Order: sequence, then structure tokens, then C-alpha cells
Amino acid sequence: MEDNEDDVFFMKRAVKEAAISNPVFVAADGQQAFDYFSASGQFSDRSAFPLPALVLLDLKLPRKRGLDFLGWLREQKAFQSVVVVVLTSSREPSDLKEAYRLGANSYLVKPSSANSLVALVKIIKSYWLDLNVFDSV
Amino acid sequence: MSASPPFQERLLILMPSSKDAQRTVAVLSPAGIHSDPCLSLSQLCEEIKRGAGAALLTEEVILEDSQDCLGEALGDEPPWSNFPLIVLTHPGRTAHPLHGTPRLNLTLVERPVRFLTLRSVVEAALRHRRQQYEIRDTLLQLTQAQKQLATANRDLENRVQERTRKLQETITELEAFSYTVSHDLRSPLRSIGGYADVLQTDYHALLNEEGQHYLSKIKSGVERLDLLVQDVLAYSRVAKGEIHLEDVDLTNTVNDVIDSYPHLREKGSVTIEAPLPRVRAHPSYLTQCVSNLLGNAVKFARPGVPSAVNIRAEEEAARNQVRIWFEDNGIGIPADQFHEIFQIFGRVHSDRAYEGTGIGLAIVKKAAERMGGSVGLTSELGKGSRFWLSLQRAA
Repeated sequence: MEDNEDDVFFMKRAVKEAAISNPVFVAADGQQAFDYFSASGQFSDRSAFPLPALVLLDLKLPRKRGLDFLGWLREQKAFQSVVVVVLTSSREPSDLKEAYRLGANSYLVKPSSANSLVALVKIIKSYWLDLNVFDSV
Repeated sequence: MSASPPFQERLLILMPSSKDAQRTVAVLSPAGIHSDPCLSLSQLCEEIKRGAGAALLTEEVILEDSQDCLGEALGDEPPWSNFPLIVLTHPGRTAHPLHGTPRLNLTLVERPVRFLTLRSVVEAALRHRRQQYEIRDTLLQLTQAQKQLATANRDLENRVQERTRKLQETITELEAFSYTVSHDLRSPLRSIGGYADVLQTDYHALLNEEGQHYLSKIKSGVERLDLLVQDVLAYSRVAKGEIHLEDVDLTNTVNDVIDSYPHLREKGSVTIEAPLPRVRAHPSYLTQCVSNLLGNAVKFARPGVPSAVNIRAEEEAARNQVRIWFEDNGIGIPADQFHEIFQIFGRVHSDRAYEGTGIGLAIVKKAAERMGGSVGLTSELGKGSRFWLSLQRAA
């Protein structure tokens, strides 16, 4: 989930460099993410818009803060095993505490260079996509 | 002092017979003395209460004062007042009934009375009375002045409080502003740097050497700006963030910093005079201070001289504090800059000579102060500097 189009560009590039073959969906704001998960509006077709196993969550989203979305997600029985990795520019201790308290699986700080982002995404792939065992959703 | 009636320069007269009284009035009048005869002692007392300059009466009249209305009238006087009584006595009498009355302003004149004597006594009494009224008026003015001063003080106090409140508001707004701006600057910076990265990596083949060079200029500009923004953010956090003091093992903190910045050991040697005492500090602020001070000690090395930093501590028992010294063998700092370098952007050398944001020491100073401590230094140009950080001792 990412609203900044530059960050989306860098993320997509990183995903490509990391050779992640899984389908990737980008939600531009908290409302979209909410709609996607609750299969409402344009996302009502579950086969076209399957539930993700891994969510990379930016905290600075317009219309519904990233943390509010996380709180909502964890309250839904159906989505409690969705892996949420917070990926944000904020190093604020308050954001950190709140994210873990609400049930984030991991908290990563966005690196400053596009190439470090590639390295980071490669690590995310090797750990979460290759090693981690997901619950079936 | 309640009312402030004007001075009535009149003499009250009480004699056994009205003929005596009239004669006395007639005798004193050419001397410019205004007299008011009274018919009884109670009337005299009434007139005293109403306001008069002095009273002239005979001894016989006082002896008939069974109700002591004279004593009562005189007892009622305000502090500044001391009513002059002139009593005509008979020769030979020794005891006097009025002597028990407190604060008596009594002049006894023996009969037979010479005119000149009577006149001088009356004039003196009236003059004395006039002076009493002048004292009363001065006291009144004093009280007024004091009241005005108190009011002015109160107003001043209120204005100072109001100004301080406004000032505090402004400071808070500025701090919030600098924090928000710094925070919001990082995102576009990341974009600029990111695209420069992408150009360098993905479009390497399409760029000649000059193009590559310009790109690295963009990147280093972005990096410097990002460091600056991060330091401003760090300063804002230290200035305004929450602070919890706890007992911290200084040796651990210093070792952690050295481990996190391997270049410290690469650039030179760092020695610690162990054991370092435990201090009362906010852990992350303390880490920030140590890393800034240590970083500086290593950075400002003399050309050709590998940097050597010594860290030691001394107890300041009197103030229950610990002073930690960071002693280096670098380029030193001129004495007239000792104050400057702790200011934001206060730098001795331009950042072409020694890279840095100019905020590091300002952060150390702010953090130290918020932890109840202080910073300072001594230095010798060309020889080295010795920075110290004083903090509260751990319990």
C-alpha cells in the first residue's frame, strides 16, 4: 500500500529486480485497501482480486491512516493470518509501538536510496516469500 | 484614617463663666487668633471631634468631668493626631487629674496669666496642630503612591505573564513547524535521490562520463541535504521529545557506539579509562551525545596525524554529577569560538574542509541540558580539544 507515485515506481522496480513473480497489487489509499479486503465495490470479484498473503503497509496514507487499516484488518477473523510488514519512512517510536501493538508482523524503515530498496525487497522476498510459511487464506 | 477634613485653625475655649470666655476671645482676637467659646465640657468634646486647632480651658472645668468625656474624645484620635490642650491652673495645686490620659499634649499655664504668655502658648499649640495635619496629608499621599505602585506592579506582572505565554506559544509553533517541514522534506528528497540512483544503475550505458559525473553531484547534494534534514529532526526530537531518565551503564553505551561506527576504530584509536561510572540519562539521547562527540573527535584530525581519542570520567561529588571527558589530538578550536560551536549551524570550518551539518554539537548541548547536565570544552589550537559532558550520577 503506497500513495506516493514515485515510491510506487521505485517499489515496482525493486520487485522486478528481485524477480518476484507473484502478482502484486498496489492500493493507493487506506480506503482502497479496505475495499479490496472486504471485497466491496470494484473488488467484489475474488477471482480477479484474490486475497493477498503478504501486505507491505506504508503508514502515511491519505484517507484512513495505515495504522487504522491494520487495526481493522486484525479485528477480522478471516484476515488474522495475513502477514503485514510495515514499510514506512517513519522512525517515530510512537508509530513503532502502535504498529506492533496492533499486530504488525514486522516493521521496516524505507531506505533512502532506490538501490538499497532493491536490496531490501530482495531480502523480503528471500525471507517472507521463499522461507516463511503462509496460512492458507 | 477615614475622612480628611481640612485643618480648622480655631481655638476652643471653655471657661467657668461666659464673661470669662468673651473676655479671653476679645484678648486673643487682635493677635489674629480665632476662638470659639463652648458652653459645656461635652460641647467642647464634640467640637474637638469635629476638628479644631487647640483647646483652652480651666482646671475647674476638668475636675467636673465625671464622665471623662475629655479622655474619651482624646482616646479616639488617629495616630497622627495629638490634640493640644492648654489648661489654666490655680497656684499651689500639685496633683493634676488629666495626667493618667495616654498621649496627652498638655500645656499648664499658671494664673494670673500674662497676655503675652497666653498668646505665645496658643500660637505654638496652633502651629503644632497645623504640622500634625501636614503630616496627615503626607501620609495620605504616601498611601496613595503605594497603592498606585502595587497596581502598576500587578499590571506589569500580568503583562509579563501574557508575553511569556505568547512567547511560549511561538516557540512551540516554531518547533512543530521545523519538525513537520523536516519530516515532509524527506519524501521528495528520497524521490530525487531515487531517480538519480535509477539513472545511474539502469541507464549507465546511455550516459557518458560527464553525465555520470553530474548524476553523482545530484546524489551527493541529496545526501547532504538528507543528513541536514535528519539532524534538524534529531534536534527537534531532543528539544521537544519525551524524556525518561534511568540509570545507564556508560561503558556499555560507549562500546555500543564504537561498534555501530566501525570507521571510528579505522580512522584512529579510541581508548577508554575504565570503569566509567553509571549515569542518570535518557538512553537514546546519551547515545546521540556520545556518538556526536566521538565522531567529532575522530573527524577533526590533524593532517598526517592519526586521531587518538581518550575517554575518561571524573566524579563531581559536590554537585552529585559525573563529568565525562572526550580528549582528542585533533586540530583544536580557537577560544573565541567556544560558545559558537554549540549553536545551530555554528561551524568553525566550512563543510568543504570537514563535512558535517553544523548541528551535531547543538544536539549534544540540548540533550545534555534536558538530562539535567551540561557540556563544555577546553582546547588548544593545533594540539587538540577536550570536550566534557556532565550528567547526574546514577543512584
